[in-house]
Amino acid sequence: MKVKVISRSTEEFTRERSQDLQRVFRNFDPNIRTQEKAVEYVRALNAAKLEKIFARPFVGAMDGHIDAVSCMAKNPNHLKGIFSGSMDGDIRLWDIASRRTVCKFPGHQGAVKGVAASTDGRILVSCGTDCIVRLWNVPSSSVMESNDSSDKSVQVPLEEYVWKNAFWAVDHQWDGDRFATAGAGVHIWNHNKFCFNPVILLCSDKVLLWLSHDNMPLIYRSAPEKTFEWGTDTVISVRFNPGQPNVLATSATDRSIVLYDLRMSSEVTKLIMRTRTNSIAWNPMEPINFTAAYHGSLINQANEDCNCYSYDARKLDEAKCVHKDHVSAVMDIDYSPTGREFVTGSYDRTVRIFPYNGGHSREIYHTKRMQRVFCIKFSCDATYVISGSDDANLRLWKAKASEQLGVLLPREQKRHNYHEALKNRYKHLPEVKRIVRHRHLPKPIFKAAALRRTVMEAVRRKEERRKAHSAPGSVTTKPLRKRRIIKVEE
Amino acid sequence: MRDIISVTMGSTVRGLVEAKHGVEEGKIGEKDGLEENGVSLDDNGNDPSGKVEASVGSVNENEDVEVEDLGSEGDEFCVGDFVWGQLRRHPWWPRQIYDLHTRRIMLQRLNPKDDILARLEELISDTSSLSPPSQAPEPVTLVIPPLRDDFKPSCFHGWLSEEISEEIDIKVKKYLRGEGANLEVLQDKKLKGQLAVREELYGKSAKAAAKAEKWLMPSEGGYLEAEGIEKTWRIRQEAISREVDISSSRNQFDITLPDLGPYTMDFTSSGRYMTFGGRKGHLGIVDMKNMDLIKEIQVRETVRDVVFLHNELFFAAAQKKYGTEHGAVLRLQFLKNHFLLASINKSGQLHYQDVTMGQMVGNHRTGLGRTDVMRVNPFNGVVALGHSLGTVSMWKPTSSAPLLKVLCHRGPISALAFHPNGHLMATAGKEKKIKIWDLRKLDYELQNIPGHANTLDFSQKGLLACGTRSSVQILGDLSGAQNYSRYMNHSMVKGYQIGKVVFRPYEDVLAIGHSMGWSSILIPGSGEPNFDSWVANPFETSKQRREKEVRSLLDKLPPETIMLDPTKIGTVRPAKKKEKPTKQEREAEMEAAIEDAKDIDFKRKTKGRNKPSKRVKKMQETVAKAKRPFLEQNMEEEELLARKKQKTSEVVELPVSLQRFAKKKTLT
Repeated sequence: MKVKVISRSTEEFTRERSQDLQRVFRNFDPNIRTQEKAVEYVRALNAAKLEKIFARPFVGAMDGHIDAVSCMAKNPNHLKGIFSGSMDGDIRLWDIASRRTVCKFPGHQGAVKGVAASTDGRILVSCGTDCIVRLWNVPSSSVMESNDSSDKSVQVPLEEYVWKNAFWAVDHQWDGDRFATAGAGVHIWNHNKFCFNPVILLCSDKVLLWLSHDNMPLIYRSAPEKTFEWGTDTVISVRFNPGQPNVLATSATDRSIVLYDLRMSSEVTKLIMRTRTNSIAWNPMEPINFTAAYHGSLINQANEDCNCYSYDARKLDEAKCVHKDHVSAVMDIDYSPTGREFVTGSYDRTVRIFPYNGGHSREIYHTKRMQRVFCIKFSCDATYVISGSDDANLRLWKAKASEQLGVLLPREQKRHNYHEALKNRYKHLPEVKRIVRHRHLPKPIFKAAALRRTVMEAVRRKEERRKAHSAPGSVTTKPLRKRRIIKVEE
Repeated sequence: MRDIISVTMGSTVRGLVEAKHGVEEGKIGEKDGLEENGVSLDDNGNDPSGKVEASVGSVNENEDVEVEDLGSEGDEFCVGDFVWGQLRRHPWWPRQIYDLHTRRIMLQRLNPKDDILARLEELISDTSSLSPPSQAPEPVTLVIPPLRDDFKPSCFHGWLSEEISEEIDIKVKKYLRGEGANLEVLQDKKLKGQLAVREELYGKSAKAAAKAEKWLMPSEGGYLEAEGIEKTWRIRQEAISREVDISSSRNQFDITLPDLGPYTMDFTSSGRYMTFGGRKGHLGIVDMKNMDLIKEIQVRETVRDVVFLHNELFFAAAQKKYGTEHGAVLRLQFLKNHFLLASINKSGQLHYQDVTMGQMVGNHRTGLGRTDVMRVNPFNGVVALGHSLGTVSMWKPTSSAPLLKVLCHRGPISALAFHPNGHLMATAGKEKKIKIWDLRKLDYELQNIPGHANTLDFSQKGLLACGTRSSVQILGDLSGAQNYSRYMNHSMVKGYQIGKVVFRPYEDVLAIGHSMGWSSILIPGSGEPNFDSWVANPFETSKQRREKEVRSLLDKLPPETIMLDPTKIGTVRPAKKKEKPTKQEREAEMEAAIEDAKDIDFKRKTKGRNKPSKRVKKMQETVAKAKRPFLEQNMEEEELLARKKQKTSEVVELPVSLQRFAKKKTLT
């Protein structure tokens, strides 16, 4: 006879001293965990509920401007720095961490319509309705680090270029010294190589006095390196391609989107839509995939038909994806540095975050006090969203509404990961889906969305009936991805 | 085969082999003792049994060396032989006797990347570093499991790894929890890719779990093996107690409490605590690890059943007076995932109470008479009741009709038990039959064993205890083919009436509640040897208990999750295909509707409206009204059919000469 029975000595299975950690033994046998699937489902449900409970996206507001915030630019050198321009000509540099103004850039007379920082983070370009482009030195990092809130340093412009027309937007090349301004046309400037044109004193234009190295007064007027004009309409937005430094996209009031290449004398492509485009953003991750053979790839644009359209720059006759959820014009758009999401600010007083390939938004942010959103930016670490609105405030939001801020302990991190995985696994089940998707909307937006749905439904029905009552094949419906496009010119 | 052979090694490796604290012990002989050992080796080699048993108390004996000749006729080991042995800091492992000169050549032949061989090499280098280099042929101790005939040292590694991978493959199957999804049918490439990645991850984690089980488990399961003409069921408890260690033999005891019996009992899920209830009101909780009586109460009324709730602090007793919400309860069961206390009372009502909120979740009249046979299937939380007419009915709290009714026996059912994997059910009938059922296929029983049982219980490892009168029989699925046969027997003093048998979780112990108290016996191989600290921890501290209570409350399952197949939860219900009714069905439906319409009794009206003609007209109208939807539907379908026909006819191309007369298609 051979016999053995289970015999456990307490010493072997418990800790020796009270300072020791408790010993943990694992046995992954499915038989000792009964109904594991039901337990997992309940955990997923709880995780979804917890996500809702902890969803507090609003971090804080940054007030200081005395008029609506019209434009913003990220500070590429400083994660916590952001520039904002206001309708009253005020430009400020903000410290997001302490939510205060670090530096002011006074000088513009009318509204500032565009600010952009160079990629090396040394130069800030601003332009506005006063027909002047100003270059500023971005203050050193020590200013960002200083904690004294009382002393707001004031900068003087490095350069001022005066031009003939008001400016609507500016964007700096990702790799290089050029920047582009949009107004009556698209002008390309170079901030290192000034193109000084000697002009005669008492000329009708604004005149600047420059001293040459031999202290002889010289009169120069700065001029753009290059000018593109296609039609007579005002260009309202301009964005450089992050992958190809020489490619830029603009949108104009003639409802067109135009792609330019700086190496060419003329335009590359022009796309005309039914409504005008307010803003354009390049996907920062996708151009890398395509740069080799083609000039860029995806553009997102905000239209006044409340939708955003993603395009492939090589194939403009059809949008890649239509992102719809806003109920009023989308004013600005910005991609997350990850390229997987983008954020939009809308005239309907909300901010929404869309997946780059999804038709509907993942998140909507709103507060009672936030008015029309004019500009929106993703922070450089993809954790925050900054919105500038009509109520002269910048607002700071978390990109993931229920994310826990601060340093996470490894156990906390594991817990979050586990919850995330659970939610992902059971996201198709009705109860989990309902909880995860549900968002409380302000009444006007809810109603407007309902109205919009009704109208769209009516249009669809009408279309269907028209189709049913006409000769087969005589009425065709264009897919939504093509419907807003009128033509593409090469 | 568990024959372990250990061999003495030469004095050169003296001190390298350490005593393994246990039964087998390789002692190192003195320098001159080598010959001695060689002699003993020879003797043992000629021993017909080929093996010497190690006795428990042999630790003190110096010359206690167990040896088996490895098949070669020589009386000593040759260089190149494989033996089983242990070196300091290393577990028991196959080793090879080698010669220092040939070592380098041998190592070159071995692939250093393989785990086992790398380990061998490591061991070899370990010994050589400690041994004086002058002594050339250097024996190392070793042993191998009994070899196959075709065994050669060169094929040793391949054979071993093959064996291990086979074993792991079987375990992986357990952790995979069923077949993977069939991805070939999917059209969506992206989804297919995502799912393929997921399946791969599942495979990996199952493999990791299988490996962890193979190598990392702290304890091994118990076993009882007969030798020669012995039979396991003839082995008595006294014989077992002589063989096992003292702490285990403490688990064999009888507690005689003649006044307040018969006793019933229940264990916590970790097996650490036991609650008992005497019929005449004797309640208590015992800590089974150190045999402490934690609590003892005399409630001075009939107690019919006791059950632990989620931890050892709470237990429920079916008392005669205090069953207000549940009635006169006969049996209690606790569903620990749902925190539901299920009870069956004298009038055959099944109650479910949520013990966290105190709310009654379900109250079903079974309508099948009084019964005291109730068990919860731990796999899915379904409560099964055995009835006096031979049926077993299964219930869930959210439906008042049974999920299932099975006619199991031709007489009253006396006991019922579920296998922990949830697929087997054992029932015992009063007609002296014990039947084993597969719950996935209830058409017929898997096995029909003659025998009588008042009480049944499955152990964690699947042994089935049947208690009747004063004896307990343990059946075991020894062949692994779901064929239960005798494993052990235990008889108590004549006249004791066994009321309940319960296996103690995570121990090889069976508790028997009977009319004179309760007893505990050893059943080797019944319990799960390895516990999971997060599931049920026998060594739980109070802090851990508190934390676990909170966690289990967070994971409390709603009563809707109780269903026959719990793996369905979390899956998407396939869309039902709406089947069109056939023409006959539709006609039958219409006729039924007409009949119904004809049966309507009209109110008798006054003032000339009650004329027979009017009544007939009204009747006709109602019939027409009833017919109308069916006729309309028919018409619609005909129209659709006609349109389809027209379309198909349009496609048919006319001969060229006639095409100019054809209806012109509108241009797009």
